[in-house]
Amino acid sequence: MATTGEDVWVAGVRGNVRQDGRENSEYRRITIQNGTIEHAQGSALVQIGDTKVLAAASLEIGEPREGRPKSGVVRVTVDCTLCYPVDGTNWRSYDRYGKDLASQVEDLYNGPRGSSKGVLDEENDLCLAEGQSVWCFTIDCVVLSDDGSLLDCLSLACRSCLCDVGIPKFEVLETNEVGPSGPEITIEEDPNQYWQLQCARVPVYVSLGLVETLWVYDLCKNEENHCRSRLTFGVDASGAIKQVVSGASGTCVNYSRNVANIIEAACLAGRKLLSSIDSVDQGKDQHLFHIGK
Amino acid sequence: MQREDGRGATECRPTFLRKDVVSGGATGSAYGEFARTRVVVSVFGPRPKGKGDHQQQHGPGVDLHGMELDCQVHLPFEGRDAARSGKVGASTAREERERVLGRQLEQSILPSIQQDRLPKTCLEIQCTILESDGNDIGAAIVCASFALATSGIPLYDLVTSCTLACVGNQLVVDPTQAELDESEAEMSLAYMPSRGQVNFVHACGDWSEVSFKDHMDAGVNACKKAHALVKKSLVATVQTK
Repeated sequence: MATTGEDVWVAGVRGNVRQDGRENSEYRRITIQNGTIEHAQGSALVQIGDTKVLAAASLEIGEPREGRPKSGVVRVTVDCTLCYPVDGTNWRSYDRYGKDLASQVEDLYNGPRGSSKGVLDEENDLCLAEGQSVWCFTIDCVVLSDDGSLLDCLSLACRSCLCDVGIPKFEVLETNEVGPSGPEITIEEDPNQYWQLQCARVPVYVSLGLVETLWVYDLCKNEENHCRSRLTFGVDASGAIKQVVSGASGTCVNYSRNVANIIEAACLAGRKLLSSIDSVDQGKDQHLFHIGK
Repeated sequence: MQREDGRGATECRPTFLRKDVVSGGATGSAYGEFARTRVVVSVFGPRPKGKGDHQQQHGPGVDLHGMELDCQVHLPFEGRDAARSGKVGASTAREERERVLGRQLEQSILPSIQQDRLPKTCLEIQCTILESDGNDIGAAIVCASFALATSGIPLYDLVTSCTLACVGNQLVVDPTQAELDESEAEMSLAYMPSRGQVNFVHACGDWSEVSFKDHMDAGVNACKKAHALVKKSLVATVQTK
């Protein structure tokens, strides 16, 4: 029987060595740069190995979602047409792929439909006037190159952007007349009075590839093509799981007693990754992550 | 805490499945009713793959010789009131929901089909959700799997699916729309018992490691129970014919 690329990869994972020499629990080098786009309120350029994503965030006052009158709103758009060869026939599927990625990242930040608490703002800090005005973030992401772990990279970029945006303080004017768009709100213009979202609450995606009873972090593109079983967990800095999504179509997870280990591995990865990122000074921006088994 | 319709926390709604409900051209079809969630699924194919066929996947890794599955979900009755009253976002929200459901349906069903017995073919599944009272993805998956089974496509196993929600502090299985609207966390999963595989999982909420594992276990157990029921319906339809 011929040895396929998949067999070679599986044999490598069993021996704790991957194509590029990494161990199963090793991430590629992650680089995060904030403030790359001058006129955006928050921006970030994130690189995981060769996967590069540029994200820009803007802030405005808008209407809250239905059924969630007090939570802030996050809208995400993803453009991945730059990183794939577009030869005139496949652009529609890349467009759709971008929309799917965007809706997955949006779900991470907007939380479940029925929840009364927002994911980003548990005390409803993003609410200006209940049911009428809330802070709305719009994050535009461009994928510059895709070498696997795209969802991880996108969520890291969005997180860096969100934590970079300065949110002004506001005052609601007490008047007897309430206009059609709600009560009048004055925005504090002093930039020194701006506050920022707490990084620790903003979750990030961690993707795991599953092989027999082992798991692998940070798959590159070639590995994604070989890996049949993928799970992506959205975790925040305290290790709480906010979202779980199974990998691309055709993949499935063997449900065995190993699942508890996999869940634990994902939470551990999320905690370590986010604590390393959050504890680094603004000047330094190069990290190499190795998460213990 | 009692649920509104008197069910226990881990009780699913009664299931009714019937095959061959669509005439004219479909290889197989099924109608599923889960209390007030009603779904019709029709299966077309396997057809030989032509050059102009719509490619679902993108970039490298497209398998030109394999089987292709195309799942489309229609929500004809949802959001009509909102569209009439002039809300701009309503129809795009519905289209997006249709696309998301289609993607989730494909993800759940594809691993159950014996793809190497259908090379270079294209299979199409059209699902119409007539009425949704919570757990529409679960209903679509079970009904689609039943339709595939009755249409003679070679399968590894039936796929069953269930949705769980956390209402208050209690975990409820197969929530209604009202229960979903108040839930703090929801999880949907699709499970294939013969291989012990979870084909699709989508969870949104707030869990610790231990509570997530417990909820997944509860989901898988509910799927196993549902599988026995669907298998019984399948055997019954074959026998009555």
